[in-house]
Amino acid sequence: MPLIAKTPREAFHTFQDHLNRTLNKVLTPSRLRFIVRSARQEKTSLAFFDARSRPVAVRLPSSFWYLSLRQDLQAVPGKEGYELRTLQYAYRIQRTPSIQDEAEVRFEYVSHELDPSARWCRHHVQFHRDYQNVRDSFSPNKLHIPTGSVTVEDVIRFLITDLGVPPLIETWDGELKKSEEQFRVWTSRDVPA
Amino acid sequence: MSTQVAIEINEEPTENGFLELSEQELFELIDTGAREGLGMTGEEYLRRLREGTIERTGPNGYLAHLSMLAALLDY
Repeated sequence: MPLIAKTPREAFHTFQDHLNRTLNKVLTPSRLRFIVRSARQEKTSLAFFDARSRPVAVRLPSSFWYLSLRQDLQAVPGKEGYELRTLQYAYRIQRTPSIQDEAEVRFEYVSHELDPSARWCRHHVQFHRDYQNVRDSFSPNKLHIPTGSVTVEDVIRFLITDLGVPPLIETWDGELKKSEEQFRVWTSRDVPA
Repeated sequence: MSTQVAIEINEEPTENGFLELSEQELFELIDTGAREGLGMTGEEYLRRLREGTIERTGPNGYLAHLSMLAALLDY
């Protein structure tokens, strides 16, 4: 059953609480916050912000990695209430807090609604420019290497298992599976196990 | 590399996990972000976004940040 809410704000809050609960339990005490336009509240942008509302990559505890998460969402009215659609996401794993600095790896998605003219793979991964032209005519910071839809749980799992970020709890894998299952129920999408 | 300082966000769960901004405040946030992150004014950024001459994502994370703020203004 998809996530159904009476108002856009309720839908956003439910999703925000879900992600923050998973992040805070497994990876980081930092919390995602929303920006919303007061006049039209059916769209929102979810990210880590500093006190001046600037987007930041947060340092992961006991690690030299920084994480920036960004989700742009739209609440779409349906028969029973509002459902959530993802307009865009950008997950960045980097070595500094500034999102101005290039990430080591970034998983991105841009919806057709936001950019109808894009011809590249909308779900893709890109890598730091230091890998550019390591092999002739193959630049991983420019190529839109296709992926499936990448979840926040996927990114957390990658940080822990491949980049060695220590999880906050031993049962992190089970927590991520539960979190993914909830996302699967809400969105009726397939999430890789 | 920029000199931006790391700021950890360690807030307790609150009802106001929302930052609600007027249209004018959103324009101001875009202007500040465009100047800090891309070295151009917010007006220029939005014009280039409208013309399709600037990417919505890229190595500089401000591209995605500003694109998402612009989407709130239906750009």
